[in-house]
Amino acid sequence: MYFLRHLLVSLQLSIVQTLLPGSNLHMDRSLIGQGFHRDLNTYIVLDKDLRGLYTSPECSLLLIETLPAGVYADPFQLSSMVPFGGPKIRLDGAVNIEAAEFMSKSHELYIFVNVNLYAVDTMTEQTVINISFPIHARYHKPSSDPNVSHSTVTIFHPSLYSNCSKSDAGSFLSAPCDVSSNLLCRWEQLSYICSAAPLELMIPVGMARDKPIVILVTLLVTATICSLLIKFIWESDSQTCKKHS
Amino acid sequence: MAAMIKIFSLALVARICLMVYGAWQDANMDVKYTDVDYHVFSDAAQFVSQGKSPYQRATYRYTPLLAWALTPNVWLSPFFGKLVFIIFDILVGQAIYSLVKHSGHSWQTARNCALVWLVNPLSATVSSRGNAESIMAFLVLMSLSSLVRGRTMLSAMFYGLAIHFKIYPIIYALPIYLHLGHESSHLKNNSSVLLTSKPWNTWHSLLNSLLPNRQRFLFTSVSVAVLGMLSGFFYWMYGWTFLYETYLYHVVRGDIKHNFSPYFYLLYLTSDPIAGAPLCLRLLVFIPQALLLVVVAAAFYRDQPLTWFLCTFVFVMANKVCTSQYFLWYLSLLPIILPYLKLSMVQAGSLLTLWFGTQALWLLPAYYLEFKGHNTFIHIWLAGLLFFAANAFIVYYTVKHYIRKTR
Repeated sequence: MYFLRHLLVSLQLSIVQTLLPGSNLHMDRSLIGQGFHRDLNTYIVLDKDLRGLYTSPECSLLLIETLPAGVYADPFQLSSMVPFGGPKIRLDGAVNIEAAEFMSKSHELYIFVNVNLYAVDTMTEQTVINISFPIHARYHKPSSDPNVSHSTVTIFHPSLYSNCSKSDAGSFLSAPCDVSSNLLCRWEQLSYICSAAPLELMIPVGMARDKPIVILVTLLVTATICSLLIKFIWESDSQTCKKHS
Repeated sequence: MAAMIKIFSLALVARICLMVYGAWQDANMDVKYTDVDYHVFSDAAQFVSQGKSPYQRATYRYTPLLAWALTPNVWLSPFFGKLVFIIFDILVGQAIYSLVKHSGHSWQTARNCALVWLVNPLSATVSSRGNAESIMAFLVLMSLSSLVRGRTMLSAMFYGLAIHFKIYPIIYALPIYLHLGHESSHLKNNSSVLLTSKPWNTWHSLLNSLLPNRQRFLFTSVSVAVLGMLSGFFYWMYGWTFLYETYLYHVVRGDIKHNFSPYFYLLYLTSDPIAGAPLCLRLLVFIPQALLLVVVAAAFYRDQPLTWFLCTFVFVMANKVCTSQYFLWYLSLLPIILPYLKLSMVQAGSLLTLWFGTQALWLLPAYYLEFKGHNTFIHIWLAGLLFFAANAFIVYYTVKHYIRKTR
């Protein structure tokens, strides 16, 4: 399984590289944090000569991020971050932020990027676009394999589009023009080089082998304690009556 | 009373300071002061001010009244709602004061009980963070306070409103019903009657004690009318979504995320729709809770404040979902029974340590699970069972040291 995934990644990489000898659009990806709450970081690096292509006022980049069922982005959290410089993100539908992984579907995020808002690094003459937003893991189905205590969620790299350049990958897409508009625009796909492997989150899961003992002990403990308490309350009733006198 | 006004004003100013500090923390720090729910209320208020349904905001599970009341959040100030909650928080202090004073205690005792609520950092932060629990606490206390004063109709109105806000006060229905059937519904009237016999000594008297009478009829019809009118009106406005989000969700809620409940891991492991467990197992967890509620009501209904406190406590401890927000439900009722709790400082301190300590034992593995990604489900489950046992011990100890002398 692991081998296959790596094979796929390297295959993907080599395709991009053969398509684009000497491409100057790079991407890097990382996940910050551990556990259920993470920050998903994407860096897009534009070389000096490439920046000029995307800095006209009506031009923007679009990243389409597919979050699998195991994680979600909270739309209200995302919109509350916009006044503090958070990315402009549109979701493809309602997100149930409470459902478990096995009751959920994957969802897509449309991230709109205005290249003009990012400064050129004076040293490298590159433009580094950093997009960061929080994602949260959902509860997963308990593990039936006693040796597996975590579920793996894999987040593949996003696809990148632009509304103002010729597609170098030869494909285009009809997608919303911006974060709030109902109009559809034609977005040309851009290829990029990304050396990072698809991101993986390890999410702790309940152990199915614990089920019999958990059911037994939980019911036994709660039933015993409740019975003792009920017996005590029932008997103290007469005493309370005396206390009232 | 001048002294009380001073205390209330100070408590108000302190909470407003916390609110202002919170605005600073929200703007400057990663960890936000404002409660997540406050954004839910504000977003819902935004929707209703645009003439839309508050339920368009995901996870809005409250009465539309709340969203309506908070519409000034949109056009006046985002702090409006917090101020409302803070004012209700102070009113809770006032309700505690007057209830304790009405029970015949000196004003100093009543003041001290109110202070337990007013200087409690928990209640102060909860309201200034923008959590609506203070409204709930106020409604419950007003219903209880009117009931023990014999103002059945007023009590029923508050009761209907309280259930409309959050469904849990339904657990007081049985104790209220038993209380209203009692010949002398006020402890101070004729306490010797209380001793002559238990009403359920024979089946006949049991049946008799459950028959409707004028007071019971009045209370039931008024509270049902208030609840029914509000529900009918909002059903007419927002339809099925309103019924589901406000009432049904809280009953059918199948939240499997880790929480303080002793049943959390059991419910999680059996949550799988295919390889899960039969429904009867999941219904089984309701039985201890229901039994405890009935026994507490039957045993202590002659003392309504004690019964309401204990009912809330056992309901929360044996619930299938239990978060720290639920603790406020009984913490707001605790001050009114304090004058009857004969505990030394050491005993009281030990109980508090037990309550906080077992929570801390739960919080530690929960932190490692949620923020570090360690598989600590077993530890969380064991800590939940321990917290359950500690809570049971607190009930036992409270009842054992509760002494109410009639005058």
